[in-house]
Amino acid sequence: MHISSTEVDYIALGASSDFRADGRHAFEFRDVIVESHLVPSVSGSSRAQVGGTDVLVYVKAELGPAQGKNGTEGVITFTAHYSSVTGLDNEVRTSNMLNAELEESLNRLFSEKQAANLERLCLLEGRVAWTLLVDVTVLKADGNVLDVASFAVRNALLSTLVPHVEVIRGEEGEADEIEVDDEPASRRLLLEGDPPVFISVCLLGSKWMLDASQDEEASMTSKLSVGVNSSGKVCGIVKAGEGALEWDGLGDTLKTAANMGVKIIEGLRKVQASRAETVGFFA
Amino acid sequence: MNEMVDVEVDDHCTVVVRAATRSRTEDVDRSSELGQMCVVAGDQIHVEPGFVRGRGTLTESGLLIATVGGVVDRVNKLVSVRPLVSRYTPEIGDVVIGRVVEVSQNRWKLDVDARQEAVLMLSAMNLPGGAQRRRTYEDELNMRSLIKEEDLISAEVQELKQDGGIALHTRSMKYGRLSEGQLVRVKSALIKRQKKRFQMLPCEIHAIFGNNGYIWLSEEEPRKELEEQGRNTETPKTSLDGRRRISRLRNSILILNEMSMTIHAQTIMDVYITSEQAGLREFEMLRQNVREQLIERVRNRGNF
Amino acid sequence: MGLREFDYGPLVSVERGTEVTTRERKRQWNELRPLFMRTRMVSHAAGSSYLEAENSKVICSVNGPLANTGGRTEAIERAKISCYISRTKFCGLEDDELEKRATTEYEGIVCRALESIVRVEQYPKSTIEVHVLVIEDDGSTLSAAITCACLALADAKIELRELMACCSVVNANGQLLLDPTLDEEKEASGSVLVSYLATSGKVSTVFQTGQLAYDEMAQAVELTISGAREIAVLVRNCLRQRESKDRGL
Repeated sequence: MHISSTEVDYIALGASSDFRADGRHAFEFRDVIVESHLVPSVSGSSRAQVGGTDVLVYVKAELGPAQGKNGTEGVITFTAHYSSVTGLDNEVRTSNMLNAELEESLNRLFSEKQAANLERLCLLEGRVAWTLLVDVTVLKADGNVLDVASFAVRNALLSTLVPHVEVIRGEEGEADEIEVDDEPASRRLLLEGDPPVFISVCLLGSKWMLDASQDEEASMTSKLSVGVNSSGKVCGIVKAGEGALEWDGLGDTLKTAANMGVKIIEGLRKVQASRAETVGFFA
Repeated sequence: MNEMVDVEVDDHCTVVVRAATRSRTEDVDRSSELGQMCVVAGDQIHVEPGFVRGRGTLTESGLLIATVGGVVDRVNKLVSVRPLVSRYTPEIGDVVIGRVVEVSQNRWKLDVDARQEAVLMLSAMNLPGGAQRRRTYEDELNMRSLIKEEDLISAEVQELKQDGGIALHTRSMKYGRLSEGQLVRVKSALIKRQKKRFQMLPCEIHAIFGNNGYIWLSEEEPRKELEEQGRNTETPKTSLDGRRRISRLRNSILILNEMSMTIHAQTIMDVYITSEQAGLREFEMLRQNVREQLIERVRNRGNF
Repeated sequence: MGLREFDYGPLVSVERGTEVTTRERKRQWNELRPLFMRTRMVSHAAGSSYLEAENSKVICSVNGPLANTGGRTEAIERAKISCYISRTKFCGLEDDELEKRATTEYEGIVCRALESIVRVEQYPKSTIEVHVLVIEDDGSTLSAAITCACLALADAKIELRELMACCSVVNANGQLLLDPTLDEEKEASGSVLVSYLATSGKVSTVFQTGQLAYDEMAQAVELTISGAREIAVLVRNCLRQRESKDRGL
């Protein structure tokens, strides 16, 4: 990311005065705009936009072998890519790194048992479970991509529709079978759980802030991404950035991040419940 | 639900989450374009014999074919196609703001968001200790102490090479490295070529309108004293009030950019003043519905 | 979308409902799927476009002309076109299908197709980057990519000699099929892809795979051109609509 030392100083000083380039305070989030059900041919989809950051998420649900120690769990895997239209430095190495970071963070968030109840995805113990392939495409990057991606992921997972599956108990000596109902009308929501989101805080100078823009991310020394669920519980923390940070006083910042996570999840929930009309690509 | 009830929540810990809405059609300053002929690439353009081929066209078997989508311009016998949105094409005398991508032996290479990079030769750069003296070997070694990679510079387009290369120079002391201010990037087509590129706006913020779509806002006048060329001198820091004004200007400019409206002092100040009168906070201006209402109000004042 | 088989237990296969293909719904052998096109998909890129043919969906973005960076010693009097094709993970192709569609080869085909319409001599020492993302693959995505790229280049206001549309045909079970779906491509013994130049009526790219008898080949090319001609009209209309919209007409 291209930024000069004087621009970094300007941003850092603005941060310490609690007045950011676009007029926000340290803990103010840009407006979060979401929509779901963009593409009818995949199991679930969602798009989230915050400032200039624009992320699309598709979910494809398939039946696959049950995983986990006892074969009682389903699987959620993430693939991420920054579509080359973001206007970022086009070096392949940089974009590969960014893709990997995004994937790893999301995979880590959803690997925690509390975050995603993978056991509920299991249909036949030891044999068949739902496999969710989640594809995250970053259309535009204007800072805070991880958080925005996590909002879209949450929305997409919670709006994923799958065919109705019935478990037919086998007769004596025969194993159970699965029957998949092909009727499109019988599709139902797969997950009713509580997928967490990421809320990232960046250290600019000596001040922490939420929802960094691209310039602010280029100026930050440290970044902590906190996984938060709807009860405000912390489900994982990932650190980025080369700087070291002082732990004192960080506690309050993390609490604020968790609080923001709760608010955003509440907001996402309301938007989904309102069944707003999909705008999608053709607007 | 929330286990953190005893935490002092910062008053400003806010967020708005909403569903996507259809935004209104991108409005375009279309006063002069209505009724003119639009073509797309590959279309044949009707011409009289004796025409002269202009930009955006080619001749094939005596026919004139458009090579870009746009409006057909006919000036006397010159027929050309003018696209609405195009990459910045420099002209001699333009003021540009660029970011240094390379520092080599005796020149800086800058990204000015054009088709090619721009070059500022050491010999074309104003130096400390007097404007006109021969560049020494020491000067070459010290280039990075003046301007290094990622720095922003304002300069003037001196020459356009045949292969499209852009040569810059800093003609006077008001050009040079930029520090202590805010960069705003917009579509270059929206910045009209005007005489005064260095202006002080009525809200007492200085602005440099780069023809390449880069705008620099600062509280202090971008002028370098002869002794101040070095990197270690203290530039006065922007005041908090200055930051507020810069932020409001920045947001006003971005709104005009989003709506594809021309950007110059008058249009910027129209949005600026309207937003102040509406009692909007700087950040609130950027909300989609607010943006549209602001432009609506500005239009109704009859300035467009 | 195909069978998944497991290695254990009496429950051997789980079959997802197969959707009735349009061909079964009486799409003719020489009929195109309904097409949807749009430009200016992504405002950040210089130009962008989206093309959808039922379940085949492709996005293209164009950056440039960009200055050539990094010490090139050769003097380049024309622009260089670079093409990158990527696919989403669930685009619908299994691994073996993916291998067959060698991405580097496809990128080269798209590049060469575009070189026939872009006025590269207008942009010396520059690079034009074309990025294609295949969101969903239900056949004919290479031809869709080329058409989409032409739209994106026009959207980026890069000078083009003329507009181009691309179409393909396969020979499956002795029958020629225009604008094949993924299943039809899998069953095919041969295929032809042609890119058609709208104004001059010439053909700029021919890509043939598999086996086709000579007269089948001629028929296939004719069929492909007729399909591409229809698509070319849609391409032009899409761009015209964008021009009018930009000018508030």
